[in-house]
Amino acid sequence: MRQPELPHRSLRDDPGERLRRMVGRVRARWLLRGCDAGRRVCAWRSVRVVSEGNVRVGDGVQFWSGPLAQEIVCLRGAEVEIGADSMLNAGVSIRAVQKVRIGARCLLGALALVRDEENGRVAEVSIADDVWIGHGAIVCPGVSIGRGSVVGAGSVVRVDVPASSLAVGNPATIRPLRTQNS
Amino acid sequence: MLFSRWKLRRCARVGSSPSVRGRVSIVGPGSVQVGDDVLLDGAWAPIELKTFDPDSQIVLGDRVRIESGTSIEAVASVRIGAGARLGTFSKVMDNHFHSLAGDRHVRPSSDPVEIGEGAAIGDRAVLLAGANVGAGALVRAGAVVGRRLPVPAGAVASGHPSRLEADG
Repeated sequence: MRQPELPHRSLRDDPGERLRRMVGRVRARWLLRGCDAGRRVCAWRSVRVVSEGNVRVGDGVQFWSGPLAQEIVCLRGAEVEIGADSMLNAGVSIRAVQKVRIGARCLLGALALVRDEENGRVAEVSIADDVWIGHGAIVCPGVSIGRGSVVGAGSVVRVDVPASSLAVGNPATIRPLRTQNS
Repeated sequence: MLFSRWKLRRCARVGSSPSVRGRVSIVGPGSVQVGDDVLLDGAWAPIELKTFDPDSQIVLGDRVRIESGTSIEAVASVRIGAGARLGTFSKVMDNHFHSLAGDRHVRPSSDPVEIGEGAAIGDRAVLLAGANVGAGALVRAGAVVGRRLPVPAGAVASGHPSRLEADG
């Protein structure tokens, strides 16, 4: 897939960027050594990984840099899957005691949380392809988010979100995603 | 204090007596201007002031206080008035960076953010593109405020979706 022109990376001038990306790929190989990681995965900074279970990270997944590292915590017997070309901004936290699946080309905004366990209740989380989770949003156990949907910044999603929908609020309410920018 | 000034070395302008604890990350080609007596407390978690274009601007007025974990991203302009306060892990952005429809990687247009003098932004609040918080107003912790809800001077905004609290 062609590398998109990303806002965070437009900060950097080219010669340095190519080197940083190479370093990022090596760093990702090291940080994700306990995982099943695809090609061209890039960790622009640190990522905290606890992979007691089965963690699969697709081709081209990017962990962006920022003040706080991302974390993937996959306990024994659990599964985490992150689809190809998804991008996780700084501070994103994914924790699985059973199963968390994130599709391809998803965008996870800074400090977003995905959890399949809350206060003893365990239910798997499934996020389809092309989903955009806004800054600081929280995806609760048992939630299924359909393809192409958007979760607004700061929202807390506690119910399923159909495809091509917009989920906003705490707790999030759902409406269709209009084709024009709103 | 000299160390504070060194931590702010990437700023275009720094006023008198800045106070910086912990880490402040100033990134990008734009200009960050810091007024007098500003406090940036990154001791718990780093503070991030990020610009994206050469003409991006972040302006912190005199006596502004910013707590740990705060992140300010400006493509056009974010202006914070004198004496305003930003709580821990608050977020201010003047651009949403991704499009709702079509190619998600197309950056939408910017909408500058203004925070008035003496305003207070609570912990983990989010100010989206086009947010406007009046002088002395309060945005409560965890609230998400955007162009849909300008917060008048002295008002209180809370919740998500956010609304103005009635006078009381």
